[in-house]
Amino acid sequence: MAKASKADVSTTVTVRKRTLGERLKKDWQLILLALPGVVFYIIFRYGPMYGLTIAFKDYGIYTGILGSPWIGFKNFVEFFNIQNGWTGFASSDFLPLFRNTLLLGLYSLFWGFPFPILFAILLNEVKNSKFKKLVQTTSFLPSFLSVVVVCSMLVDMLSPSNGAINSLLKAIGLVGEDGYYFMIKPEWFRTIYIASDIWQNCGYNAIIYVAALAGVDQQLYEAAKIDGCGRIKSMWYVTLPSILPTVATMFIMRSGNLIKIGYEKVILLYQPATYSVADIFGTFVYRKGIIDMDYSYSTAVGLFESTVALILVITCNTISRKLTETSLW
Amino acid sequence: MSGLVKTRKPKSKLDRYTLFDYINVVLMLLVIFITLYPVWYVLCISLSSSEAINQGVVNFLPMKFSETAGKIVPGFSFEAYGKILSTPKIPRAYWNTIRYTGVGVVCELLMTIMFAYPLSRKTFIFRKPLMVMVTITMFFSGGLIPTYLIVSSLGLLDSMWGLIIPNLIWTFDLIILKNFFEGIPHELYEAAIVDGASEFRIMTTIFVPLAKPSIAAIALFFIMGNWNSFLIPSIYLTSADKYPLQVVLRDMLMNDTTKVSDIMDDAKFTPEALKNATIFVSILPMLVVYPWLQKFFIKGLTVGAVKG
Repeated sequence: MAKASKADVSTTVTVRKRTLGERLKKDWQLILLALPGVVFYIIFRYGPMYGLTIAFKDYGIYTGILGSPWIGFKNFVEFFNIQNGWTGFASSDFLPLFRNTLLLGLYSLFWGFPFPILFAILLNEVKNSKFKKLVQTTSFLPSFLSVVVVCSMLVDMLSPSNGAINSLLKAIGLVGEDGYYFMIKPEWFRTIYIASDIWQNCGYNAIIYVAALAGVDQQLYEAAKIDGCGRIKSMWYVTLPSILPTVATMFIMRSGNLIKIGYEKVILLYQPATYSVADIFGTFVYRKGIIDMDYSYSTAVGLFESTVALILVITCNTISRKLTETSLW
Repeated sequence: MSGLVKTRKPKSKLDRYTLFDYINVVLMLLVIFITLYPVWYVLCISLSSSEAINQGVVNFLPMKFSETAGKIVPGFSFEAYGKILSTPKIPRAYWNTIRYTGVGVVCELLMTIMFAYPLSRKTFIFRKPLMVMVTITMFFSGGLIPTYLIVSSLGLLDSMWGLIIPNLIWTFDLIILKNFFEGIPHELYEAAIVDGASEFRIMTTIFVPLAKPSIAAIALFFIMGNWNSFLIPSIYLTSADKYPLQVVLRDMLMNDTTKVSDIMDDAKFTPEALKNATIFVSILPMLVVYPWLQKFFIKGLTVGAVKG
């Protein structure tokens, strides 16, 4: 009997999985290390997700998240203004916000996406390695600057009275003595936003392409040259195809984040005169929530935005997995 | 020796500069100019006198009014920088920024390392569920208002800790570090376990030193994030004496005339110079360190962003 059990133990120890208790005991140090992080995530990442319930409640400062009464979809009905049918919807808060967010996102993608690729390809063609390094180092200086600094620079340079841009325009006679007030012109808002975004992030976004280009086999270029390709042709037939997978991945990731627009910058740049094109979900939530303290309504708008953003990310990722076999998860 | 020379010679012939190269170099010089000009412009404005700025003649060089020449000529005026030092608001904000950044970066690094390490251990019992918990937050979050209400209900508003604690871990940086830890050879870990080292000891004496490049990269992201953040401090902080530099700058930008005028004595002094001098001192630390830190910057992006 005793002999049998001994043999049993010696054979089972190697194959038997540890029990839960044993594993917990073995990992107690790791559990202890992870504990602060877990507490952090529960309170500051999942707590706010729980706080989203106030989108369906009539939140009062004294009743709190838990004690406030449920009101169902009232905030959403108000947001889409659908209780009055189509005429109401046409004048809802939702419509201009949706249009502005989508357009700003689409234009940013359309203009902002090609620049880093073009820059990386041209940078790759620079022969002097010291000069190449200098250009690249310079190119991502702006991404070290804060949004506030970039916006201050913009406002100063575009100032109608003494900004550099207006000085130039006055010198060549395109505008009169009073200058042109770019910041209050709705038709200029998107251009200013996107151009400054390209200025700030082109070098930073190009890093990934520059890294991909550095990995291209130099023999391919030599082969192309022997086959009679000039510089432009080898850029087209060698350089571009070799970074195409990276480009595709980045494009899908960018598309997934289409409506996640840096609203901090919009807050700094927009003015009541430009609200008609500049007001997006993020800025609306900020104004309604932080300034007007209409917490429930602004949370409902925020929840709508994050849900749409989530659907967009999942869709783009699914497409990505099908097409390029790369996905975020 | 001669072999080397021989192989080099034809190459240099092949690499002869063509028209394309010249155009490309010009384009790259243009990129440098466009990138640097706005920063240079800030410096020029900050070093110019008010008359010159108001007349709109400051474009490429700092300008000031010269008594001897009787007109505006290129020259330096340190008026604005003197003003920065003599108004307590700006040095105080600067000190606040340094404090928030220093404390913030240290706390964020500690928390991130401590959490990334267990997540990187393949046999860790809670690895899977915790990774799911962490990853979800990259795609969905409570957003501005619910986070504000949580921070407010914990009594963290209007304090330094209210800025730091709710942002101790950034999921993106956590995953960069976790991936790096996973790349460290498993044999090292096993050998240390066999030798009877505790997990804490393995983490601090083996993993952290080996992950220095990755830690440097995320530290840089943390420094930039803290130094440059403006919206969260402007929402969470209510007393003006706790404002960091970026919030003070935002005030100057937003309510240009009103807010700047209350820290100016003479009406003749233009806010532009003061504002630009403040911008310049706020970006100076970044300008000084970034050429040295940029390799970590590149590494952090290229190592962490694309996971094979």
